Amino acid sequence: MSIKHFLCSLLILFSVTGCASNQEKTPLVVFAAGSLIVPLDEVEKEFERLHPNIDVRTEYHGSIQVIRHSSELNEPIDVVLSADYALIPMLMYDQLEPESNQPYANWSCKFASNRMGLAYTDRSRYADEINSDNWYEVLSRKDVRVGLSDPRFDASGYRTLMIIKLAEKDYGKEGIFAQVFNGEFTQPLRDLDRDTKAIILVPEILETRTGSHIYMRGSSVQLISLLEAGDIDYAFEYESVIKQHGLREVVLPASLDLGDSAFEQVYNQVEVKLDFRRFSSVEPIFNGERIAYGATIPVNAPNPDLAAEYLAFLFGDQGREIMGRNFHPILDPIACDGYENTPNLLQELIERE
Amino acid sequence: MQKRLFFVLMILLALILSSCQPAVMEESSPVIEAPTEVPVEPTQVIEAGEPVLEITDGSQSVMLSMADLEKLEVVEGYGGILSSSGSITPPALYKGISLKDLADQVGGIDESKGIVVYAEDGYSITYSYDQVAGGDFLTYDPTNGTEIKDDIPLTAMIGYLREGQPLDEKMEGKLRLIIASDEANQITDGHWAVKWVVKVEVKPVAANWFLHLEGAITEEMDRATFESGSSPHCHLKVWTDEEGNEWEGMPLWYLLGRVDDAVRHESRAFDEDLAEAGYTITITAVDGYSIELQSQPAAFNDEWIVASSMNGGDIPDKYFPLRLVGEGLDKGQMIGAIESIKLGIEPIEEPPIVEEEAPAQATEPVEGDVVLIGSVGKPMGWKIADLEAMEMTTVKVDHPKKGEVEYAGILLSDLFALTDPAADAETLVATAADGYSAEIPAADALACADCILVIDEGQPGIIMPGFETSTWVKDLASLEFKGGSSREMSGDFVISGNVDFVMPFMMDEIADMDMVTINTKHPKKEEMVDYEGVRLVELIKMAKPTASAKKAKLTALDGYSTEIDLPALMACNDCLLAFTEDNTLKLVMPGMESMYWVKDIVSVEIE
Repeated sequence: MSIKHFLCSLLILFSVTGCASNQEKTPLVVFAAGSLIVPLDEVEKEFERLHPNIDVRTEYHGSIQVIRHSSELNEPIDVVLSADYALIPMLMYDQLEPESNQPYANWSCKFASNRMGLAYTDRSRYADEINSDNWYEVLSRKDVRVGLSDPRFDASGYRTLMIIKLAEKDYGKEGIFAQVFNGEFTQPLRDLDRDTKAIILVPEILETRTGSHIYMRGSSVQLISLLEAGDIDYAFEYESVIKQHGLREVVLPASLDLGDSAFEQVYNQVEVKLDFRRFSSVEPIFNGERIAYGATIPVNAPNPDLAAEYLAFLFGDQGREIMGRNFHPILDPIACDGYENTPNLLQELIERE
Repeated sequence: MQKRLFFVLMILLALILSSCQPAVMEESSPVIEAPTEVPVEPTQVIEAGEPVLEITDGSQSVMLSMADLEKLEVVEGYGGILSSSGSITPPALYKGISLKDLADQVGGIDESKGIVVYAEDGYSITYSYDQVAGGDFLTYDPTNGTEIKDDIPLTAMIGYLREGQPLDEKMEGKLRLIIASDEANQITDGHWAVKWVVKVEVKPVAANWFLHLEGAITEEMDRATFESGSSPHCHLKVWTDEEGNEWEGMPLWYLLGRVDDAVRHESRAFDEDLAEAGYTITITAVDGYSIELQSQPAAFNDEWIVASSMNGGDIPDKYFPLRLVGEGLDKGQMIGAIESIKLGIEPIEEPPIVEEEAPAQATEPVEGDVVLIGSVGKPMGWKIADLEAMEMTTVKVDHPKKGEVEYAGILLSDLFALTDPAADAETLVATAADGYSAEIPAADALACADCILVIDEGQPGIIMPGFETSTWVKDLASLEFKGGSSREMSGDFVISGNVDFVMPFMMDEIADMDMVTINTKHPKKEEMVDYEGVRLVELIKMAKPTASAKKAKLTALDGYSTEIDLPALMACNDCLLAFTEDNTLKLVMPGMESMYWVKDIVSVEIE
């Protein structure tokens, strides 16, 4: 082989391998509520397929933790997706980002809803008997194992408490809350009936007594495992999650399932108050209202433009198709608070709240 | 040809090499995440003396530097995390100080308390006693996140080293909370593993509630004091609702009397003139909801009860800790979850009268292997031989760890009967020879029918069925009743001595009792007179004289006293405790000598 051939070979070699060399990918950090795991996994894959230079890194937590990582711990997060829309203005609008001295967020979009249902399996006790009219009576039976996600950490937990309390007015039966929960905790979970609203007080130490029929876990995702293993009989879950896991469901009336805007005033009749302060900046009161998932791009997002592209994908046709297929449809329209502060890329897809 | 082949081979080779370096990195989908905390050199050198952790119980604070922490008893263990979405951070080896040991810096923790751990951003989590002292946390398999059913011994610790290195301050802070085990065989829920820890606070938790009383003076009445005051031998009253539920507590007016003037609990604590003049009573629940009542209908009204229990058990959760119930109140007034009672009267400027301390003990010191002292009428001490010679009782109890066990010993109630504890004593403190002590609500100890003192291989100890094992004190040295008023001054009329229950009565209470009218004549007078009063035998029965009681000593305010046979006294159904015209008490003793018609009677001591 001549030197010329050798050099040509090297040139071919390097040029071909050079085209195929690793390109640096830009990370896009998304913090999302745990109930979005299944659809967002698909969203991530599809978004990356269309944007090969972006590496979407999604972390899932309880919604309060999702936002805390951004606004309290100042972690660089590009997109925040919360299962409780109200938490974004509550926790991010008044907190100032130290470098820019700007609020961590000044807009948020209600992009999806959900409804709560009562999940169970064929192995659940009284599975053949339970229905939309008698579920509360079944749950109060002491041989029925009821899963509850910890209302101190998980929105699904305090929403469960709201539903059980609202059921009293809905079915015209006082005392349903007490029948399910009375005496089950070492420190009582109290429901106080006031003129216009029922208030549920959650003590700072919430532990079940030995032998309790309430099985409490840190998040609703953990309850799914227990249901599937037959370790519990029933648990309130987001309907999207119930369907994603192929579980049986007691469908609740719209007046209870926290999923219908027509019943907002009914939902408003209950609130859950944490009887302690977990965040120095937050009054821990959660009002009964229609479930709305919230999205925003924090002011300290490392890649705000890419974040806007991600949200545009999620809010657009392809994102809608993925979410809808996973029983978690995107709202139509998507209403945003602070519309004037939203990225231009999103403004075609959203409306003012 | 060769050249072409060569070039083809080179191109093929290049393509093969490029296929090993894909254009798009295949994304792995790990079940197990690489630890987010990578041990790195700290970016900030922590000065040995710089405070890094505050320990407080609200009344005192201790600031600890890293050097201070390293001087405490260090623990080591493996801790990892399961996030709420199921991602796993595998166990790593941490070194630090247990939360329990840190709590000991400010007096320690017991079942009535919890520990709040604060992060530097103000975020906080509260840990229960069972979590801190017992490691009571759910654990998961670090390989797949499934729940572990078996118990693994766990320690909640504040860690400052990870795998032998200081924590990454940016990722975890100088200190973080970790739930650790001896082996790397578990992980726990992530929300317990607080990072950036700066403060640990020991505080009472909701089970140990306080009732805020406010009027001329202010009192934070704790649960033990309320329950003592609403016990059967104090001011217990019961109201039965329409559904047959029995609500137990104490009358509202007693609580008003605690703060309506400077006199909190001595005789005539309730200011009836002030109540008659009228003031508003505001009762407020924990959520701020409140109702108002007026003082006049509340005055001496035993029907309006502040209840703390129902049907002999816990009050229903929604009304915890207290609910106002009773005849004459409508449903809206029966407020639950009571947090405060405020009287619409001016606070007094002078400092309030301090409640009397329990009286000084007998001048002669009490000696023995076990002594029973404090707020008792008769402090006593016993040698082991004395105790072994006493009447033994066998009880079968459920030991919290050993199951059903039979014990033989002396009933504590027998020892109490010998020493005459104050009825409103607040606490019984059991102290071991090594200084360990446990506190028990006095009312509960007095009411315990099967609590016994045992002698095990020459060492005394107490067996307390139904109480926490921490109260089963071994190598017992003393039992001391604390709190409560003077034994002699606890009422306007007191029945004491060889009884199960010392019974102090206030004038008001006596006036409210069932009165009878007896027509009789004084032995030194001619005319028959109607006397109205309370049957004395009924009052003595409430005190429950012991089987060995034989006499009763009747004592007047001026010190006059006389003895009478107890059987004769108990046989006298018409003997009365009556009011005189000038509102003092006297005995009306039909058929008995005048020496027994004691004027200004203050006590009956059963002997």
